[in-house]
Amino acid sequence: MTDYGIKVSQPGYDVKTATPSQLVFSSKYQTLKIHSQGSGTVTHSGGRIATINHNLGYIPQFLVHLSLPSQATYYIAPINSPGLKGEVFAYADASNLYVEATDDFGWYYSYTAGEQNNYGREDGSGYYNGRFWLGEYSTYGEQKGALRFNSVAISRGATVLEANIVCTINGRLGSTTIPLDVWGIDEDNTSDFGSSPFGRSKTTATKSESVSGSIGAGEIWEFGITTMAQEIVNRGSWNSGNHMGFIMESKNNTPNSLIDSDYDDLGSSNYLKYRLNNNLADYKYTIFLGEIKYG
Amino acid sequence: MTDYGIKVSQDGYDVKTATVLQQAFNSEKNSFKISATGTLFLTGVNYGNVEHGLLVTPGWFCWFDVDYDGDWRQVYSNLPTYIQGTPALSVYSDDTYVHFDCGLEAKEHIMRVFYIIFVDPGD
Repeated sequence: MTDYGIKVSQPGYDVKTATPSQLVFSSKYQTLKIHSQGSGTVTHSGGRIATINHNLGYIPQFLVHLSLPSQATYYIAPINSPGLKGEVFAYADASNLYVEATDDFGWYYSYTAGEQNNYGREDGSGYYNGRFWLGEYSTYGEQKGALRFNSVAISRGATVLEANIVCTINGRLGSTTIPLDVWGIDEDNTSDFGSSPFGRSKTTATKSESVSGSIGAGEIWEFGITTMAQEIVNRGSWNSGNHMGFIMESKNNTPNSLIDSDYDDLGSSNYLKYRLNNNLADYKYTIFLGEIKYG
Repeated sequence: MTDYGIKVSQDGYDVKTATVLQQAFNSEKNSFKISATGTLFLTGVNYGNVEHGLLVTPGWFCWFDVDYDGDWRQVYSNLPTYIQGTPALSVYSDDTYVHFDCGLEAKEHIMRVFYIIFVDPGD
């Protein structure tokens, strides 16, 4: 091929001798040409994904920058954040560019941390710490259980969009669904369960819950406690970093259907997860005309 | 130095008054020029590289597709890019190669990486 084309050098360089990187333009090289640019926010209520249609009919090259909500500091995707699990990441197919948050991104976590005094259990035979049972077992009767979570990082009065307790079940007896009621412990910084928590004040907010008969040993039981958590953080002397407790009381007699979660076994990983922001990440994107070719 | 050069404005802007962002080209401002593009296949391995022949440490962009699901994900730096459920991918360059380095778990997957290597240094 004949050696012809166009070169433009940077100021200060002779175009005839400039190296490729000293050229501003050389018709020998492709450049990234922009198809479209824009910005937006990935939200939980929006399905945790933003979809940007590009109408190119092929998979385009792209660049996405992300910022945690309202921080205005943008990083090249993907991002995560200290204290948060998961990521927000960007990908494209032949129809769209997507910016997506993984299911666990945007949730905060507080743990029982395998501490014996973060678990409580009470039935007709007395009070015990170190585990909770729910349901009804033999002559012990209906069970009450309690969990305490360390260092809940919610500011006083902040809106709790969603809060769940996540328990790992160590043992299961029977397969009858276990109904129960749940309350928060209506205290600013509930003390550990070295002494029984079952006489402590309960939140006005309460909820009927149940443990499905299909949840067996080693499996996860997750349930919502949003209104109870909200009531506790709305307390006048609540402070971020305080401990938060919950009481669960079995009801309706379900003989020989029981779950067990222990502080020193699988259940040591029980945790409270909470979500405070609907906005997960702000994004800015550039879609180039270049194609991702493969194969 | 004499004030000369080339400016090309975008459609709708007067080249004599257009700002840099309103210009499609300005010889005072360098731009990334593409040296090479290509696809690297990582099957049963967790490392690959591309020799670029530039004798400088080039800038790059790349995207990867795990298990050929058709979703091409952006890779961002020389730190491992980890997306939940996928192997971590670390991409970095020196004056000879662009390196694609995955965690050992990548050996359990098939991966393809599309890359753009620029003529221009990444720094």
